[in-house]
Amino acid sequence: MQFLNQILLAGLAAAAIPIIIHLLNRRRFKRVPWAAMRFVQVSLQRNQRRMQIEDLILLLLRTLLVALLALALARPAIDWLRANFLGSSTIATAIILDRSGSMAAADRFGLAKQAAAETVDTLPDGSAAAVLLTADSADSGIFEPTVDLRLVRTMIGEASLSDRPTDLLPAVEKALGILARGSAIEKELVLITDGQAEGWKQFEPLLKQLADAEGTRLKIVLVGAQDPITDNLGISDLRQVSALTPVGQALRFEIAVTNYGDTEASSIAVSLDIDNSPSGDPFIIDQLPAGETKNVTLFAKLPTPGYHRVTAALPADPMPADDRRTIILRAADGIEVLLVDGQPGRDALGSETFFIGNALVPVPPELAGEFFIKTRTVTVADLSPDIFQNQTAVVLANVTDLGADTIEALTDYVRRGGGLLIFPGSNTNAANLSNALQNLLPATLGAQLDGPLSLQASGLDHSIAALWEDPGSGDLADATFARAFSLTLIEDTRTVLRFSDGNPALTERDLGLGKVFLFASTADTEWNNLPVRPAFLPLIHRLLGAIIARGESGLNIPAGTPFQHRLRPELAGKEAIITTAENQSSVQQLDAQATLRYDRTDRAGAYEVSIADPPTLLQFAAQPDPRESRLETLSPQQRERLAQHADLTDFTTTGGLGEVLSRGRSGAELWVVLIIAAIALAVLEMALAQWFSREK
Amino acid sequence: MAAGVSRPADPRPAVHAPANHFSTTIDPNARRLLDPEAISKAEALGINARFVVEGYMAGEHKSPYRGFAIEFSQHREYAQGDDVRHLDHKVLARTERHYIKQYEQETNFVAHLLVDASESMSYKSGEISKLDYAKQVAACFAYLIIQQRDAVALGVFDEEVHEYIPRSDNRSTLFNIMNRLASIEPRRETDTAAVLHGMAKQLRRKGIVIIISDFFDDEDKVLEGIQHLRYGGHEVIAIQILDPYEKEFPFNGLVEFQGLENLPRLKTRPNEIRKTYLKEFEAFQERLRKGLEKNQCHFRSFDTGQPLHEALTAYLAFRAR
Repeated sequence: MQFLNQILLAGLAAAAIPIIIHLLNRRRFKRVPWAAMRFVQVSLQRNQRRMQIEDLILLLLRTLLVALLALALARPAIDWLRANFLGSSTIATAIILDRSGSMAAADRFGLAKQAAAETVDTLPDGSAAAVLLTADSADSGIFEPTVDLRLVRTMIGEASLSDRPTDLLPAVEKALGILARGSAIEKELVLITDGQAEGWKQFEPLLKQLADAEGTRLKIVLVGAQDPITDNLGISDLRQVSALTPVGQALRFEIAVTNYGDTEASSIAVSLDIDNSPSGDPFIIDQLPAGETKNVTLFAKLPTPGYHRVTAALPADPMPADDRRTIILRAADGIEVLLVDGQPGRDALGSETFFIGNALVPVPPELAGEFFIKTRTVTVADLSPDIFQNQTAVVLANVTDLGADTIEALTDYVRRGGGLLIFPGSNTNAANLSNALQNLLPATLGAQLDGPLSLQASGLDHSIAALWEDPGSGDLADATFARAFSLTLIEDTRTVLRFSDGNPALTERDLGLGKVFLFASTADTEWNNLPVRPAFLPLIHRLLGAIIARGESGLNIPAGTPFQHRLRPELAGKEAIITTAENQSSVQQLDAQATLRYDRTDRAGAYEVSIADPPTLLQFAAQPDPRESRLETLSPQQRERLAQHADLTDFTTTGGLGEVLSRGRSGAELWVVLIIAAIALAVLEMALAQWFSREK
Repeated sequence: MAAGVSRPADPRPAVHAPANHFSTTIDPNARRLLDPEAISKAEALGINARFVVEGYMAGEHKSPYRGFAIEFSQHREYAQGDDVRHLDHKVLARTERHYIKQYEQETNFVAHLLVDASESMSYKSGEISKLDYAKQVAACFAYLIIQQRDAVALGVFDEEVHEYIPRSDNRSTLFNIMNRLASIEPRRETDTAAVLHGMAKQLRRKGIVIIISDFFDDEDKVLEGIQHLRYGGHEVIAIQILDPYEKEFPFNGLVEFQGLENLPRLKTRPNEIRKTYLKEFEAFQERLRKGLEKNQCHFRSFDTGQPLHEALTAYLAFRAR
């Protein structure tokens, strides 16, 4: 027999209360001097034995009554009664169901749901259950234990897998918190997971949580841990290497393929699809040793302007979640760049925009018309407020004396998604330019720095400059700067490139949907020789790509990360229909700033957003966390340590979880029986007391 | 016990206003013993000897002045209230002590009032105890008897008679009786039978013996004592004084009965023994009644909750039939 409220067993001492009251009552007699004692004496002699027996009976009944109540409060439970007559005592249980990406392997999630359902089935009548669906956080489920187990079963049945990473600590903390807040006597935490080591990366804090969970039975059900997956190939990364995404141009994509298995893989076909159509023959990786990653470069063309799904795929294996990876790209129909020349010069070579114009269109003049980037060079005098329309980017090279209307039009152009590249020069008055373009510039221009200066050779952490971290891509540091302006960043701006002395060389600012870049030096070779260095062309293209991508930033997000995208202002307040990769649709309203927010990005793949009026289409994609592809499970040492605090059970398709879960649970509770018995005793006591005290 | 009660001829007229009658000579406490209402109602009825007694000389008290002293009996030291006319001046002159002369007298009848002053009589559930009630009964009887020029004697007893006022038909004796009654304090246990046997031996002349008691004693022995009195030719009137609680036993809860007359304490729940108690009590009463009736005695049970005049009037009316 167990007592669920052992401390209340002390209440048994209360059984002495009736005896004490009985003894105290003997002192509480009303004293009456009496003459006719002979009759009292005789009456008492005749009734004394009967009265003593009646007193004893009542005393026994009262003592038993109090003892029964004390026992009932202590909530005794007996195991053999559970098996034979009654159900177990009620339990408040919190079920943590791991739905992270690794649970997709070999349908472990289906097995986990089966284990969760069996857990609910084993709960005694009247028990309450909470369900926490978790990956890296437990943000869905039933967070307060409910006795409506049908609802719990429905929640488990409808639970869906995610492609998010695993971190069990938040879920365990949350579940223990839920149980701690509850008033249930018996508490149980059932953690159903695949035992992937990645999920237990915070092993020590988790162990501490479990160790500190006093009064809560801990059960860890591992699904598939006894059936390890040894061959898993996954695409750990897919990225566009090309700076720009013009229509019809061969774009370069880099695909990282990792062998997460224990054995070497061979003849691995890596394919690239554009909008679910193969873009060409798959690339075959001959051999990929266990644990190694190989980068594969594939090319594909985006057939039309607009959004396209680019998917890298591997042959199916037991872990399907990492066999495909999709990114969304927006193909630009034509890229037009307006070059504003502040110092045209006497000939083309003397022009301030000569080098940048050639960098943007690096083809012979006879082919320039067919090139996807078109440039147009104008002077300040040619500028008008509507000249910026339809321009992908505007380059201001050594420009001064911009009119207020022009500046306003330029600012509006940038806010609506345009890109602006600003190069100072010999005409530039730092103070005047900083003042005139204060709403556009990412930095204020200061004193001129005299060279020689060079660009940083390492620590290139900005995505635009990261290419040159690889020495094979060339060297930025070989450019020499004889003169440059010192730049002081304003709030919410970034440095893209620095001089070797740490001063900013190139800064960037996001403004509205557009982007502004400010160089510290000239666009021609007057103050530096960068325009004649090999790195200049890819740098300008990458800047242009960044300007184009600015409007499409955040299209590719990690699974589980909320999608947030700002659309054109006229779409504010509109309703958008979002369709997932599983073809499930939901409606989301854009806020007053025309920003779409969508949280349910648990599954990897492409999502489509459509707005009816004006007709607008948008796509974005969620990528699985490659860490989920690592299917290593808990080490034997870790299992052993866990077993010190929790019941560790491997669940297989054969089931049999009920017996394991029932282990340690208290038997049938007797408090109801005891209360009924106490009530019966109370009634009997009252009846007998009435009967005994009647006039005799 | 004193040999007799002297009753010199009293020329004073009959007193009809008892409240004023004692106004200057009686203890205020004693005066309260006479219930004016009881006296006024009972007075009309009088008290009559049911049997021929020695003093019943010329019919039933038609001439209360017929009796007179005929034979000197003894001297007694003067006590307050005695008629100074009976002072023996010769003795006074000779010894300078105040003695009065007592005479054997012929009278209508002699009533001996025996009042139980044992501790059990002190019980009271209300304002008046049984002893107080008994005192009032005795006082009323004494008054009535003396009022009709008969002689009365008073004995106060518990285990024995320890207060005795010899018989007298003198009004001043009434004062003595009143004062004596007023000063009675309950004490000791009771032995009614012994007292009755003693009285039976001592009373030489037949008379009326009025026993005022709760009779909470061995009823067989009490009846033997009464039988002894009856054997001596006395008329016996048994006036039982009870408290209403003794008849009803209305207690509830847990009660410790503290026995008067040194009886042990008893703790009990009275309602659980009430029926038995009442049955026992009724049985006792029945035995007492039958025993007394068998000895041709009047038996009346007075209840201290009952107005005295009602109880007394009812009894005297019964007796007058």
